[in-house]
Amino acid sequence: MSKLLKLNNEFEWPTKEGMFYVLTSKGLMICRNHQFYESCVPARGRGPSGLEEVDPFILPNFPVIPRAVFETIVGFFSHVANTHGTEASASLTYDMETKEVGMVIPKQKANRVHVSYEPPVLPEGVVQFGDVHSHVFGMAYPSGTDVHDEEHVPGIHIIVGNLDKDPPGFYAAAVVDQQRFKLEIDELLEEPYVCLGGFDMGWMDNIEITPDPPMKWIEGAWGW
Amino acid sequence: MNKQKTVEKTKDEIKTEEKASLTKIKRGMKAAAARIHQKTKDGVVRVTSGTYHEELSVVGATIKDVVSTYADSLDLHPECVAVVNGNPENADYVIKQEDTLIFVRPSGEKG
Repeated sequence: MSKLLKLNNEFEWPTKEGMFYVLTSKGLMICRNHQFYESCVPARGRGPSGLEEVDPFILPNFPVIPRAVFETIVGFFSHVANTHGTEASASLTYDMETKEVGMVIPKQKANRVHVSYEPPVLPEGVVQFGDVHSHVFGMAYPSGTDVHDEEHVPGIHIIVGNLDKDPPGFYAAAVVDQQRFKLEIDELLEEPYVCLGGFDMGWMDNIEITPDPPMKWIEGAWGW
Repeated sequence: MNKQKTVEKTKDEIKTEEKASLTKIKRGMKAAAARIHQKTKDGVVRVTSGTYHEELSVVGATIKDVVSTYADSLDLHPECVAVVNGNPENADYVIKQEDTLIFVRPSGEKG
């Protein structure tokens, strides 16, 4: 295989290599010392041809979400949906010392199709390892906005939809280094979902209801 | 005839530009290597972004340097804000030995 070099503080342009790779902050480059030229160009999505291929993978080992925590979130989302008809968001937290999984309802602004939220300020030793948000009575699937929002947020991302049905619809994915992996909701829960849980009514104060965006004519119907 | 001369001249120009470009790339590589070297000379501070925590040799570097060097390992959000010892700081802030640096997202949006 051709030589593979890294562009770092020890890098020197090799004059005796005919063809070699250089790993740079802009990706892998194919470089040459040729009779007619010296060159350095992007490898354009290819790795060194002598290496084995690998597909992206994740082996999830996330903290297990207690059923009570998940049902509390879904109960809250159901109340918001039935009261205001809007989406809502919750953050999943993990205490590194006690190993406890918890949840936080962040400050948020919501309407029927969007929810914007402030990432919660957590105590030292507590990290956010995921989030859950509602699609109200719509299907539980990731919108373009969701996918974009989650690109740089490693962890699990759950969507709750069809809140007018029992059970509601659930969608789960993990994101790491901008790569998305579909997961099954039961992989993440301690026990399968049973029913809506009780919640703190004070959390409603964290939601500011905002006007819906204007509807658009999409594929023969008005929608968002 | 004139047209042929123009074409020949253009080829020469292209060759000159390519040579200059190659020199520039090589210089750019050397400069990048030198910048990386400067950043790793001094002490270590704790840097956090979401679930990622690292102890990095970034004392004396600016926040902008940290972002450019560790954007991947900390999976930094393009719009993240640097918070040093609890206070938001700009990209030119120079990191000191006792600092704690946290990168946070200003807000998120689902739909």
